Amino acid sequence: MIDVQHVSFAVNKKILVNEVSLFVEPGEFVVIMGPNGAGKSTLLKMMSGALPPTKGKILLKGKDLVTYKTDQLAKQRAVLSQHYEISFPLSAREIVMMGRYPYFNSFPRAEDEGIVTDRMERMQVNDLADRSYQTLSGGEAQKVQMSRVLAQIGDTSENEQKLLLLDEPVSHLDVKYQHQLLAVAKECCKKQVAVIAVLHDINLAIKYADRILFMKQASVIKSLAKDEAVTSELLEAIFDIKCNLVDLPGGGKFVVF
Amino acid sequence: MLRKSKYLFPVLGILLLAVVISAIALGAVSITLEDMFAAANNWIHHKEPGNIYQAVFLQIRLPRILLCMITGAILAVSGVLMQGLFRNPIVEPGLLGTIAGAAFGASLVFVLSGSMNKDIVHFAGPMLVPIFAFAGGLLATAVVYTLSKGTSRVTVTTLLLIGIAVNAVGLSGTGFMSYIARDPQARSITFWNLGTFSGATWLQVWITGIVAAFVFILSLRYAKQLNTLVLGEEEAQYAGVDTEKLKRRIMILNTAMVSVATAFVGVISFMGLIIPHVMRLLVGSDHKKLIPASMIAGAILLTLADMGARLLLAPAEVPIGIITSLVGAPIFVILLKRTHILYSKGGGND
Repeated sequence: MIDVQHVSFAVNKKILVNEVSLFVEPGEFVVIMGPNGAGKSTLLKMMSGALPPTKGKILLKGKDLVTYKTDQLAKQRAVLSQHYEISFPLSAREIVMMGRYPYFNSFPRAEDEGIVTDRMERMQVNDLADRSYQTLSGGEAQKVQMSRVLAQIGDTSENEQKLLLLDEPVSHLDVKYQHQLLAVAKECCKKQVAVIAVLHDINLAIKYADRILFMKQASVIKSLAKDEAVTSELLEAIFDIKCNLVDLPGGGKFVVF
Repeated sequence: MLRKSKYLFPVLGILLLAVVISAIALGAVSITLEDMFAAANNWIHHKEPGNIYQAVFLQIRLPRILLCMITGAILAVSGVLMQGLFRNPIVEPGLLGTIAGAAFGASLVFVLSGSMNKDIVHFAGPMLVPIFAFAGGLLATAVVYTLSKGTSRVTVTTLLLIGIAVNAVGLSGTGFMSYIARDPQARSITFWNLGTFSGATWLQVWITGIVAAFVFILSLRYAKQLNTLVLGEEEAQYAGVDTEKLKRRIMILNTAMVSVATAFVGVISFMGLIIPHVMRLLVGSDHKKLIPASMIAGAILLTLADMGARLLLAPAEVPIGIITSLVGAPIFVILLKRTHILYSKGGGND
């Protein structure tokens, strides 16, 4: 799906991402973790196509990302950003409908309306449909934006694989909805979507990720597969803080910092 | 809840019709409905107007009101496009220097036409001011765009700041022209800067009408993209909008329509600012509805303002810009006070 080949990004001689390679298949859930300023968001932005790498290249479905046209790319991948500032009042449903804009000309088709309703149901924000976006709480707004991004992914299949990029998707959500959002993303994986998410909560990462990429100082330090156990040495090296691993009753580990 | 009524467009349509008929009927000479129909009938059958009232209706009142409607629609739609592009609810059609440039062009003619080549002045006749105003508007906007291009891509903030700078230059140029002007010339400059529809002709109606029709159809095609821009430039790109291309196109559309409209009628303030605000309250911010609604509302309000201009101090005429500012400014403040909640979260600049 996406093939990141020795990619670097530098601005004013400061290297933000250094020689990162990554290959993600549809159906895979990859989480990127690391301290602030590690280059996670920059890497994600490069994978979105918004930021051309200064070195190396990224292939999406075998084609160089920089050769995609903006409107073509919008049908291949969707991006959930960290912050949204809305300049004019629009209803939540109008915002979610924007996810379908790349697919219709002037007016939404029945199919688009259906997808919008379905994605808002999945994120449990249907009762907010007519609310002005600007009156929503931070968490509600994040769920509405996630619905929009899911609507942009649309229906996927074996022949219609897509890429979903999430930059700190749960930063404003309460515990229940943190899990709910990641569960919805995981569901997408089962339908031929490759998901790459930046997260800060190691326990969420362990629970949902098929692979965790640990970044520090612009480089990938460790790529941790699902069956590999996380160790306190690794976490301490990455985050510079003492931690303990607690065994969970049903197996697996819980990390306490 | 955002207020949205399915009756809005029918109501706007009826209002427009009512305002247009009363604007035609009322004035220095009153014109009855029968005269209007008779004049239209004679015109269709290529006959001369039957009486003086029919002649006034066809030659003076009708072109004036049509020009008024078209200009109102242009200014309102331009306001919507500019506010949408700059993601800022307090942006005006003249932001890119178009109107200041046009004003400077017009003032050049008022002051210097005496020393221009006689043949050119004679040849251009009454079109001399519009031609210079149009050229001035285009030139100023071109300067704004070129200056803001800088390194790689045009950011909205630089565009806005350079627009302000070029506006200031245009204004001081007009100021200098007024300073060196003799008294009657200086008065012409002042009047032009307050706008008037008193010299409306059919030729002007045709020119602005054709430009407006093109621009409105095209701007409706960009409605969806402008909506996406509400999320921010980067998000609009993620959603498939080529924002660089969109910016260029909107700027071209805006410059074309504003410089044409301004060239004929002068500077009319506040219309482009206030109508998008009012319409956003009534139909929401979806540009697919906002653009047509603003278009009709602009036509209604400017026709009303022109009626005021003609009737308030009849038989004298008040410059229309005085009315639009005097009525527009307080309405604008009241609206801002009442609707600040709408814009308080995340609204405004980048």
